Amino acid sequence: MTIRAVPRRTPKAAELDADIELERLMAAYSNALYAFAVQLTDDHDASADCVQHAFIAAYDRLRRGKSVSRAWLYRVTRNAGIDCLRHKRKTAPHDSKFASAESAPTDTSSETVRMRASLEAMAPEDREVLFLFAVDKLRADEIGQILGIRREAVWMRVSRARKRLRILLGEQE
Amino acid sequence: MTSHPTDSIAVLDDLPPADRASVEAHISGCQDCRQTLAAYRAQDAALVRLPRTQAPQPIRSDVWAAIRSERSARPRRRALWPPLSLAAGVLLLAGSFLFPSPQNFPKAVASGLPSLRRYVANSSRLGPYSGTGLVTSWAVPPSRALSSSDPYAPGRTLSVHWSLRDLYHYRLDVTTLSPALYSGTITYVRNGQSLLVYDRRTEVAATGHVQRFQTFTQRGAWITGTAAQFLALLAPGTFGIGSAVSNYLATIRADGADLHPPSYTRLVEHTTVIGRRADVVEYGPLTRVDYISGCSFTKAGPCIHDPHGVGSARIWIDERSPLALRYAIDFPGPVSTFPGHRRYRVTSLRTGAGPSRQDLAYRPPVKILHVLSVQGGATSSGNIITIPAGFVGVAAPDSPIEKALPLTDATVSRGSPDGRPIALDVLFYQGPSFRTRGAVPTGPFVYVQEQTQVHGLPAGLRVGNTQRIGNCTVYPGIDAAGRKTAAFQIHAVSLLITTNAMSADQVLRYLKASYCRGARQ
Repeated sequence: MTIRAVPRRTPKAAELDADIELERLMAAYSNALYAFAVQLTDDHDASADCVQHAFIAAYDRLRRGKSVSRAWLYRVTRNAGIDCLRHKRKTAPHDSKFASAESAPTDTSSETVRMRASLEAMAPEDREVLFLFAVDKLRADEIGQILGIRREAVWMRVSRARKRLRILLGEQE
Repeated sequence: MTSHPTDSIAVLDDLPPADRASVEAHISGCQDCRQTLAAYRAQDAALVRLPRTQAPQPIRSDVWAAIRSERSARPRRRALWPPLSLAAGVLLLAGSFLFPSPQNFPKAVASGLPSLRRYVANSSRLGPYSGTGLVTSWAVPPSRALSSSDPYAPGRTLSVHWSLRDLYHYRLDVTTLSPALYSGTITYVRNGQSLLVYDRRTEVAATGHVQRFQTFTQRGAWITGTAAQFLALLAPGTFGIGSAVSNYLATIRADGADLHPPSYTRLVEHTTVIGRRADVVEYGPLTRVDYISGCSFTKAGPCIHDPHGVGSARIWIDERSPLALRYAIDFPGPVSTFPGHRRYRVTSLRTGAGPSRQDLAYRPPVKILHVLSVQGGATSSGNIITIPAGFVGVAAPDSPIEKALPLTDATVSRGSPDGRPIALDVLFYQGPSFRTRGAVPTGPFVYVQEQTQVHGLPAGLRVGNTQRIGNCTVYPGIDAAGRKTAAFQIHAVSLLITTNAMSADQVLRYLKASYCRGARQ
């Protein structure tokens, strides 16, 4: 077979970069964002929608040459989740249930059960901030960006949530 | 507010360094605070341990689907991934595989893709480089005792010096460092479409015409495959990185491909190798093929059975150019398989130092034989294939030709423990050139079967009286169909030639002219 040249075009650089970056973001944050959304909305389908919405918005942003941070993704996911909750409240009564049974893996160890019960008893905003801080390992300033509050306020909430959780777990009076 | 900084302890890891230091100082002297901190740490651990819902896989594909539909709705649509040229037929063939169409590309993208994309995108633009590399530790199954002179002996170390102008103009000098018994240098010079191979030890040189990009096929010697490692030739089927990349692309191409067994490829880390930034791509699992015990070169039947042993490989790919800076392959399987590992390391790299004109015009100080290179490969030390005058040559790897011509010798087994080929079949025949696989030449032919990694000529081929031809001990004969045969060995290579076109005398003269001249005759 002979060598022959084929006309070559350059891929649109921004689009290619956006693809690459989006892929990285999805690999890194899909699960965390999804868990975050589930916690917020208590609805798996809605959560998947929220996360998708965030990634699609991220792609749009990336394609325009802007950067997308972790906090940005959480914020967009959260806003989508809140919208979804609002919509749900209008249409159906909210079924309050933290990490519903259908989603909960069959881990019924006493520690998990106690922890779940305690978390459910916490104020949602404390729970949210505690998860972002302790589980997702976001920095307070990032959490601040997500929630629209100052860093110091995040610290206070984390501290309050921790104390509350200790009490709920019976570790502290 | 107590006198204890409990609020600060709650967010200790997030505090600015100075604040953190002072809080830590307090904690170290305060029993209560230590307890609080321990409690919070335990709290974190318990929270992290809580089972979290996993994102359903469709999220990713749905996102891409949405983006795709949005893209296609755009008025001026541009191909995301236009067909890049790697300027050679075989890759053109592979093009549809290597470069998925814009519509389906993002459907299943594996992590690590960014680097690989860059890698593939750059591969046709390899600039001038020179450098040295090291190849070490070739492991072979323990069931096969090897002599120290065997080119495939374990622990073998090669050094490769290359000088690379682009993928089509380069020079490689592959020197055996260990075992010393087999030391020697094999030089490969590719200058456009011509390829020269010179074995300094045996002083045999061959030249050929490269008609396909895939210069080094699986049928080439593993040394050539190694060279390909350093060149990072991307031809699918090329031993080493080519197949690694193909494997990778196969993974990401498959619909709904996931990064789980039976096939995964992922970007492991970014690192620096000889001062250059490199992506480390891991792929696997690699399946080792086991030998059925008792299967040997002298026994009929397939030798390869029982996939066994799971390993993985890592490739260090230069971030800026498609060079494989390192390659490591490991099979930590059970002992009954063959644990082994190979390492290729680039030990120096210089840009802007491609081969000189003299390098590319290099001619060794011996007569150069014409070498068949229709499908590349066909060259290794002691494996010089020549075309008899008036004959057209066709390399026949696994081809139906072999089946069509009832030449399959029961003494010839195929396959190698590590996937490297040990057999080479070449057919020369008189008549018009044909390219279609499966076409069967009618008319006169010479059929060459070559087998490397052999300790002496197989017993089945040692039949009848021997004749000394040049530096070969030849077993001439006639097969059941009345065709002339001649079996002999050169270095570690056993050859069986079958022909219906030559008389016994002509066969011997042909051998003398092409294979058995002896270095100093």
